[in-house]
Amino acid sequence: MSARVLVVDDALFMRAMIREALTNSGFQVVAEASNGEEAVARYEEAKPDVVTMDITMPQMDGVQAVREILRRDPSARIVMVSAMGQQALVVEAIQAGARDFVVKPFDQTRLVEAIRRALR
Amino acid sequence: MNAQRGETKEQQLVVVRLDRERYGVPIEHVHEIIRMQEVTRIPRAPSFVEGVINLRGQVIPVIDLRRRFGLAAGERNGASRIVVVEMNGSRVGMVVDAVLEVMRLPDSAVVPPEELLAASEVAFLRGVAKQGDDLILLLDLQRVLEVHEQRELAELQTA
Amino acid sequence: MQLQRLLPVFLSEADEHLQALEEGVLQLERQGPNPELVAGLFRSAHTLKGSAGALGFQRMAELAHALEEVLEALRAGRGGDGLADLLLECVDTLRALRQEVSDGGERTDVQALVERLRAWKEGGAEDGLPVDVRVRLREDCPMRAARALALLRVLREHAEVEQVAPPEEAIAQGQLELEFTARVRAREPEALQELLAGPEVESVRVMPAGEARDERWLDLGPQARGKLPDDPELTRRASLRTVRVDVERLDRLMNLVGELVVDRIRFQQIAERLRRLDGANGLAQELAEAAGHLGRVASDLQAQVLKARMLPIEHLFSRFPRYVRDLAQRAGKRVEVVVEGQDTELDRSVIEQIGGPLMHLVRNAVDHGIEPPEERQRLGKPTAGRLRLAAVQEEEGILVVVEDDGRGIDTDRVREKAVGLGLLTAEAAARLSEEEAVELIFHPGLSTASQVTDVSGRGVGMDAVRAGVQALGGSVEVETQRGRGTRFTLRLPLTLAIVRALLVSCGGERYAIPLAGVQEIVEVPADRVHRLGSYRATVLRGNALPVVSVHEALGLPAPENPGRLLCVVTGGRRRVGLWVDRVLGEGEIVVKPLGSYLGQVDGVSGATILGDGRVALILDPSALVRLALREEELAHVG
Repeated sequence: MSARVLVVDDALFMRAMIREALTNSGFQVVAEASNGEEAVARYEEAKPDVVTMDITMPQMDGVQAVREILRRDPSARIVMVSAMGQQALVVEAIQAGARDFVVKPFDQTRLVEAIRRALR
Repeated sequence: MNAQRGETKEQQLVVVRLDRERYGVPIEHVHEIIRMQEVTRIPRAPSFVEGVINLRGQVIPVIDLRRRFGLAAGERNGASRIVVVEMNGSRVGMVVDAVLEVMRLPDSAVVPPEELLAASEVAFLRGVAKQGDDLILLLDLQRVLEVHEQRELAELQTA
Repeated sequence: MQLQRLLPVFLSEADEHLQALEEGVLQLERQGPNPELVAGLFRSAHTLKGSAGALGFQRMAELAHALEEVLEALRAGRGGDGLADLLLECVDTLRALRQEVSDGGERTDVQALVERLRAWKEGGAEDGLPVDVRVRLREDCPMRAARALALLRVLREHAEVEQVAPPEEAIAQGQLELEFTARVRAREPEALQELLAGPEVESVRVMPAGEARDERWLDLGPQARGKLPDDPELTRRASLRTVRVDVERLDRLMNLVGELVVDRIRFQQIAERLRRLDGANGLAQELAEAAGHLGRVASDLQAQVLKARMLPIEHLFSRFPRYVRDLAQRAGKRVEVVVEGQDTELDRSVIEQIGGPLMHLVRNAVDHGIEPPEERQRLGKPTAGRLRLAAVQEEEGILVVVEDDGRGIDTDRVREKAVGLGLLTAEAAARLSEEEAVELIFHPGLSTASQVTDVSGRGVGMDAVRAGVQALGGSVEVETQRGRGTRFTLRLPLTLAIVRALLVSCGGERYAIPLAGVQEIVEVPADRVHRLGSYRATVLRGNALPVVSVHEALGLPAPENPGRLLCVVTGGRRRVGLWVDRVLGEGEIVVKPLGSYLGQVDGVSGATILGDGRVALILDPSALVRLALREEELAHVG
């Protein structure tokens, strides 16, 4: 049974890239969101097994979205996707309950590995 | 963490030649440039890893950029150089056909590589700059040196 | 202050309470808890806490408080194994603290004990084994702080994290170099290593919990090593004569010394060339003398730096008595630990890396070797098993021995198991000598399988133990006697930075082979090497010896004409003849890492810089044997 993923990123390009990487590795991308608010809503609807979460996004940012999702579902598994130089935000996200992270630019295996770890 | 260094208006590059193209290496990653040396082969390494050399007591790996980019093997001559770069704390030497110059390039001259080049060449580039009639291809060192992709290649070869 | 006047009152009162506590705990152990008894114990603890607090004896008050809480839980009906031991340890520690009140010392740390008391109160019987997990991130790991926190999170899901150094808040603020250490309790501490592994992680070391001292730092100076006298005055004086040095600085120093050695050899070569020039003879002589002196100074310097990296093995051994006690308690065994040769010194990196293998061996001895007390009694053995941990220095290295007086390895069952797993046919198993059958415990197939099913022999991760020790350039041997016990002997190099090696040339390349892995060099004419498909072998003193060229073993294109010399190398009990063109010499070489970019290269343990400035690879004999024999097996199949 393939794990179901919600991909959150404000850049269409990144979403497409992540989607491709995940699909190639046998995951199923069940929903996408381009900002934090949307992410929370999609999470509620789709109840994915794992979320990839960008940090810098309009409306609600990734760290806030992590808090919001975990408030509603404390067992949510979230992997942060961060740009370089955002360590403080990643630390915040992990303290808030995110499970793992990758740093852009990343190669696909890194992301897949992080997701597998989060699902473990 | 201080990744952004404010609004840099220009970048400094070491320009090297590889086959007929000119490539730009960001100068902040260039540790030094040395002449070709005898290289000790490393078993089971990916084909573009030429081997290791002695850099004043430190053993560092050397990669052949031509092979890395899938170009035909070139002849080594007096102009060949090893550009030693430092990335993520490790030093790696890159063999190039020649080192041409050090130059400053305004950021405004850089465009995304997709705009000017075929997709196959884009993988190792972070941008392209026009300089008169010439193009300077800006290397994305992170990609060029990607340790893990390279690891996997090594594993594939031994498998 | 009235302290001086009250002190004698406090001390004599404390003595009474401690006495009452001790008697009460012993009674508790014999009869089980009854309300009156527990209430009495509680009162003593409570009074101690009150007076110690009033007089400002913080540690004593804190410990008494934790004790009080445990007794409270006991009163409320909580029970569990091992409580008496824990309470007695508490009484002993309180006694030590009381002693310090009268002599003014501050030697005893109560924190760990307080935490265990709390853990008992919250979780019932002590759960899991306390271990220190040290994680080192790779130098190129991005966002180290965030990575460390994510790893700690994973750790928390599988173990109870008691303490982290540097503390988590500090890590979150970016105060992290490459390493952090967590004190955890886990049911399967050995599994943590794999759990935390990942592309950003350089190494994960798991060792029995010990003093929370940061071993990245070394104390230099003779006074600092080995045991410090308890006398605080002496301690203070000694500390003035010692300096703390970051181990990485010593590593850098070591590299620099290595360069000096190389330069010396160059000078000698220049002197040699000068000598051949007309009229420069005198000059050549002078240069040669200067180079000779430089060489002597460089080797002295080298020896001093190496010495500075040494630590007594006590750093590791001292953690085991406690670890064994916990293991024994869980397994329902009685085990007495005997530790010998604690002062034996080893390179810090060797000490760090044998912690895991030693834990495996000790755990196997307690779980599978030593019999339960009733069985021992029936067999006429002392009810408490004996576990001996010993270290002794030999000429070329260090021997570390883990020995138990338990039931020994049941080779019949090991054979059975191996046959059952399809590793051997029944006939082949029957033909094995006792010695060969014992060797089976190191077989990866057997090791992994027995983790699930637990044969009465050993096997839990024994292949990992051997691999770990061999990676250090050492070896593991086992001797066992049915019903009498088992002894594991680890042969370890004194230091990793320098090894004695044979320098050989093969197909135009030069290689260094550590002498520890070289059995002999023999000359074998080409017509004495027989071909069987792509597999070659010769007969050496009546035994078949597989033959392979260095290049073949390494997977490099082989040279046309292999030489006549065979360098016989060993890995475990297997050997292989390596074809080399020439033996160039023998000497001490400085081992340099290949670096994180290339990572682990199979068959190669590092590199060294030769006199002419070129790099030669250092071959790993045991890996070569493995590679060569694997190829041989493939050739058989094909």
